[in-house]
Amino acid sequence: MAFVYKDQENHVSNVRKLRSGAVINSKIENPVGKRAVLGVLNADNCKAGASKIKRDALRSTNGNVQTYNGNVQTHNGNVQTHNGNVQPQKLPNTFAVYEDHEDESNKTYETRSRSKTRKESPTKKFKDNLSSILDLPSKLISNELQHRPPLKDVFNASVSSEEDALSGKSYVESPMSIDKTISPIQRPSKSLLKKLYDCDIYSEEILNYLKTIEKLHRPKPNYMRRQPDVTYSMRTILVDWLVEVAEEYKLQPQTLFLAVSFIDRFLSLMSVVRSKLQLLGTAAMFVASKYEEIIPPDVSEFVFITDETYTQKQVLRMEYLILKVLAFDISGPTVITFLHHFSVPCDVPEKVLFLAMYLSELVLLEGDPYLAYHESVIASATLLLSRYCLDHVDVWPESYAKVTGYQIKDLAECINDLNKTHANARNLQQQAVYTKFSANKYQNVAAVTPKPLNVTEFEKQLHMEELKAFSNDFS
Amino acid sequence: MSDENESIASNKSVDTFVKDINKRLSLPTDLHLPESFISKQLESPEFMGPLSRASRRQSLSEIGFGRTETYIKLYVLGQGTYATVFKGKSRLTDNLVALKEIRLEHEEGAPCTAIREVSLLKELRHANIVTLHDIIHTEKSLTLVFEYLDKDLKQFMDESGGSLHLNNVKLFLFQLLRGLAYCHRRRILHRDLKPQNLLINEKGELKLGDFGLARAKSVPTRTYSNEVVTLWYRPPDVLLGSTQYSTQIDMWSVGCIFYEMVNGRPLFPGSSVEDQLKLIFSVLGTPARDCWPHLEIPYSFPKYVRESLSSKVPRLDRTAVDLLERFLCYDARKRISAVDAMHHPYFEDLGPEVLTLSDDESIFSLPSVQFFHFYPKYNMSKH
Repeated sequence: MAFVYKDQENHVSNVRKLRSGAVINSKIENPVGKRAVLGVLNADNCKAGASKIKRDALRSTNGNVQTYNGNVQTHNGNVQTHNGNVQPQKLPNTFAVYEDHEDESNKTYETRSRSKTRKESPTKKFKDNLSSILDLPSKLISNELQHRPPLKDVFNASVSSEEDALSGKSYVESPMSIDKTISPIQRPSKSLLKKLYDCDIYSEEILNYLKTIEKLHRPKPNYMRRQPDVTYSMRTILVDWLVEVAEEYKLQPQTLFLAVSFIDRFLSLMSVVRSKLQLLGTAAMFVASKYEEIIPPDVSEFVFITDETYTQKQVLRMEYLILKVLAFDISGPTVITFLHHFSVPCDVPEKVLFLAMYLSELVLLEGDPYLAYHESVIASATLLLSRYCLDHVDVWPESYAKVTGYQIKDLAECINDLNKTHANARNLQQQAVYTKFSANKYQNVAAVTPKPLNVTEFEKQLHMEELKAFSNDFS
Repeated sequence: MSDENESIASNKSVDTFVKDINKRLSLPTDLHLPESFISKQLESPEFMGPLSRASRRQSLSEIGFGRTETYIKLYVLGQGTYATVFKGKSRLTDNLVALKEIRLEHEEGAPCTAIREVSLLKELRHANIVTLHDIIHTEKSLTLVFEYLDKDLKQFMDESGGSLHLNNVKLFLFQLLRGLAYCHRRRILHRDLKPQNLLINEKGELKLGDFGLARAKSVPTRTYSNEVVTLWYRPPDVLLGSTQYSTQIDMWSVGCIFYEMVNGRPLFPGSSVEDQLKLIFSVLGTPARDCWPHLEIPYSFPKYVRESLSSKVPRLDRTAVDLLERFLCYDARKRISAVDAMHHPYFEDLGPEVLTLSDDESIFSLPSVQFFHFYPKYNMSKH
């Protein structure tokens, strides 16, 4: 039993110690003295896109930056040598923040080796998106700049372990335990999984049970109308950010789906101001990880991903609120639960399953209209549409109808919505889902072209089948 | 005189009123409603309207559910790493309860064991699963209020001086399977079955407890931690690091518990993973190399030859040994399921009715099912 909570109770992360040490020792230029999010601009090192520079330039107008300018300049050369990346040599003053971030990104190597692969900070994107949609200066939303750390200390701290970090021996400081403490998991062959499942005499009963309990504890489909301060588009930005967080921390798809369902159910019962929406999302992810993951990330990791916009105490307080408001009813099925439970008895081809997973993550982004559908309906509809888009002749075989319990006509409305969502995926501002499913690991299913859809076509096909069966009975 | 009549009349109406509340809130009938709540409800004009979820929740809280004051702590029953268990009493019903108090003040908030235990137990209502009556959730602690059971199977076996009466073994085993089948049908794996987690009351009812390691399983791509189930009751494939398992993980433990009830001592009391495997192989034979094609065996073992299990359990007849062997099957896919085990001929003499009971009915509701009491105090209570 010890393993589960060992991680939580006894784990005082090195980073936390290091961080507090750094704060104490520093000549505190900034009274807050917090570490801002790191690795933010790692991506900027590699591809300093014009838009990004623009955005950063914009940020610097928020002030509070100039203080550190001198520091930044001093360490600039250093950064360059270690990172080995091409960096802007001379930057106009407006780019001060940009440099500043670079320097921070250096620390990223020391604290979080994983962020080498990080494209762009989810947090930053979350805030930028939110600010763009609200048409507000980002300062109003982001207090990141006030929390900028004294760079000198950041730098000093980074020197010590920099070499290790860069030579790839940087497995000391991460407060994340996921990648390390777990022994390598062998992935059993597909046939073995199938055999294991085949002998599962409970699969049918479990599916029936899941379809019963999905009707309990639902979000209210039109809760957004009663929310005074948040909107569907903010929800979309939040979910998009959570998709990135889940990728970053290699969390299970189920964790993401659970977190989104917690958010919707919470918002159905409580009104939340926009400045706390990200806190709700973070804490929902934290609770979902604890429920679903073998080794959930520490709370400090969840503070970290918000750029320390919120404190550990706030995240824990929000966790308490979520559990209280949802009354611990957090074990309900999600779309991914159904996809998993359908996929084995239906023997769903891998590519169809991946495309269905892609579609169902696109569904997560849109509260309207999908909050109104049951999870089992959405799961079935994604399977059907995936088969259709991948040119399967029989889009809804008898076995699928039997296992899911749905006929095409039961799914028609949802398929229609789903097809629109699929067709619109590339036009969204939020591209995390698209990027995720463009990877080879998912057979690049994001590239599958949406097909024009006519539901009545399906129904005709279904009707034909019925006729055929009917005539067979008589022949 | 007229005053008295009036008060009698109002008493009567209070009685029917209390019944009505109990019914509307679906509460147990033996509940003491606080007077303040009753008088408030009597005055409230909207009482007769339909109850919304929010108003039900509010009423429950006014009655005393979810509140610390409602329960009196009597004494500490046990102390774990993250929780303390008290014997307690409910002021609402005067019933004994077990209060599992989990501290939330550590850095990581609510422990995941607690989050899983509460959310999964809330789904489960069965005569052979410990009932979660109430949850008291404050920012400092989380207290789970369970029904109180006298002892666990370990204590029960210790007190009976080793071995149990075979009749009782059969009844315990059947109830264990019944509770487990109910969980497995709801995709829940217990993952920590052992005598200490099986609770027993004086009627001989057995209930599954401690769902701290339980989880809802999903198929088919998930892997789970193999650091589950106390060593002695952990199946060999999981000992070898299998992270891909299903309901069969619990069935191995059932087999070990079955043996322990019959013989009064644990079947495989290993001291390490290697020792544990060695003990298993020495009894059941060293498996062929391709027994678990997806697992590597990092230790080398002598080639033990399998002996018949019946020599190890002379008290059991052939039917019972057959069932025991089906639990202790190396190949998880061939290990008998809880539902199938309930239909095994070993349980034939319990009668067919035990298979058709509704979830909340105890097997002792059937007159044909009788628990054998040994202790004078139990016999006394019978007279």
